Amino acid sequence: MPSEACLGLPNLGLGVGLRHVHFKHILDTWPNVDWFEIISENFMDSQGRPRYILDQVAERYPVVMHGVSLSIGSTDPLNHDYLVKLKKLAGKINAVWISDHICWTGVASQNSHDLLPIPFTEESLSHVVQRIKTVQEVLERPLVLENPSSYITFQDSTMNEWEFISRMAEEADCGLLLDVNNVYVSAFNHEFDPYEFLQSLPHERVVQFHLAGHLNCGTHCIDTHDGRVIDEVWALYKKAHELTGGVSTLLEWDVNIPAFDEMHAEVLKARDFLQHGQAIGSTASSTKAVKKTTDETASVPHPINYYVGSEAE
Amino acid sequence: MNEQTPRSLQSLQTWLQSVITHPNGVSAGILGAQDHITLTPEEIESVIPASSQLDPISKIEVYGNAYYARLIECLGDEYPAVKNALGAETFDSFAFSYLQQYPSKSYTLSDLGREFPGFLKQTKPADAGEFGWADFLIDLARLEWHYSEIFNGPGTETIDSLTLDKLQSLMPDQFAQCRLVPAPCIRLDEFRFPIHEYATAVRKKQESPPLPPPTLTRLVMTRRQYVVRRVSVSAAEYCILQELVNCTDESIGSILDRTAEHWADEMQEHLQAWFERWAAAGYFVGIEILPE
Repeated sequence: MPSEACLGLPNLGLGVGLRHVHFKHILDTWPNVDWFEIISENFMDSQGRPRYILDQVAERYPVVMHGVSLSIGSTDPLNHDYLVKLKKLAGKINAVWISDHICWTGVASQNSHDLLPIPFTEESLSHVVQRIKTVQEVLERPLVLENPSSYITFQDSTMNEWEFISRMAEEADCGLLLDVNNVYVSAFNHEFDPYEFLQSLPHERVVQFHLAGHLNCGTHCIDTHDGRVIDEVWALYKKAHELTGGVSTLLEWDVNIPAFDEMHAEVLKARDFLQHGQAIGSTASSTKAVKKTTDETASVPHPINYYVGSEAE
Repeated sequence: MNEQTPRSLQSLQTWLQSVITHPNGVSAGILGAQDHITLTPEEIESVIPASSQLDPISKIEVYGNAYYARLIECLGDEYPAVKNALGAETFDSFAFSYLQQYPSKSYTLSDLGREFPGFLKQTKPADAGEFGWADFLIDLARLEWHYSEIFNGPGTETIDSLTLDKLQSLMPDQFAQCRLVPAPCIRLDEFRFPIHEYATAVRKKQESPPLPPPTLTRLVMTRRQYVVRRVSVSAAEYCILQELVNCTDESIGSILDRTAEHWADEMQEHLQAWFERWAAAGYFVGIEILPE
């Protein structure tokens, strides 16, 4: 993989999320993985085993912090206590960068713990840009923001998602985490061309890619992180790689998590795919749309679902 | 895309949050959110456009269905024994009500279940009586919240615990004038049932563990090597240990004199063994002279 710096941030190669079901395997074997990404909120308050594991991992691997509660688009005030804790953890584990999502998670002091979509208006853009600048001042480093999957758009939007993201990144001078699966899911749901999305971004600001599996319900897709990457997403990934020159790539697998080696093998397909144009062993395809009943789709897996439970003797 | 003046970001956010968190679903949520955006479910396309495959209500329902489903699942992860005791369907119903009364106001899901034991206590039926099924659930929830706090909170893994050798190196007079420094992860609590046995059976995946009969149970909970541990103790040991943990501005001698008024026989027989066990279990991390 190339190793040129993007916004001064290195290409770390092919990484996977640090998930508690793999803690023992990682401590026992120290697998040959390029880097790990953590869900920031699962570790920033921990003074127990999760934090101990993280410290061990951070001594041996590059670690990136990926948050789900910054709520950069919310009209509520920024939570400065949260930012201080984020910065403190990043310093302790020498996080290579800190990322979150272009979304809001709640308003009026409430947290839905979901990544809710922003209307793409001039007001939203100005609001988000100002908050990114504030966050970057507190963190004293560039913030990297991800395009979320979305299931609704707003009549009030006055620009496309990719125009919003491009202007946001330029005006706030921040980095981008391009979730290729999310581009596919949102393109399916909102009936736009995912390649136009990719083409239109400021590629020099893309610091990282996300890959993941999703659920195709026929009428819409849901970002479930519960399976393999489909071929159409691999194709988008290849295009994104061409446009950006290649950046750090991470596989998200948060529900029905397989054994570590199987999960790791999924992201290693990226190397084969880029070399041979085909994901070796890939069997997933969006043409196999899975119709789900209302009950089955009611519980939507989500990265936030990853939760560190307690262990009692 | 819209050519008209857009609604404010704040009004759209408060509206959408109100709609997706409404307990009776998205259509009811739209009718209930008139303060934020005035419209009927039939007029929803003026805010959220349809796609060729999905109408706006169904689109919003992706968020609405996920909201309660996700948080109820998280509460179930936090309270596995309570969920086991109640059964999934009844637990989900309690959790659904709880989330309406205590929506998350924290950036972390670790805080989501903080008020759940209190909520169960509040909603206990007036005619439920004492030492019944409701009290079992309330106690079980309180125990599981202790476990979560101890698991995630500060521990003693990176600091030295107070050893028996250190205790024995002190002269009796010195010892009596000192105070003990409790481990930050130690918790003591009294329960009306031996709920720790039930909770352990659930966590060990034992199918349908029997519900224990009421028995006053006093637990000492702590953490060693990042694992939460608990032990059931006698009334005398519990009382004396609780005083030593809580009354850190009082000397050991004063506490032992005070508690001896109630527990003289037990102390004479067991005090030495208790201190040995407390040291081995790491309940204290230091002993120091009380400031004048």
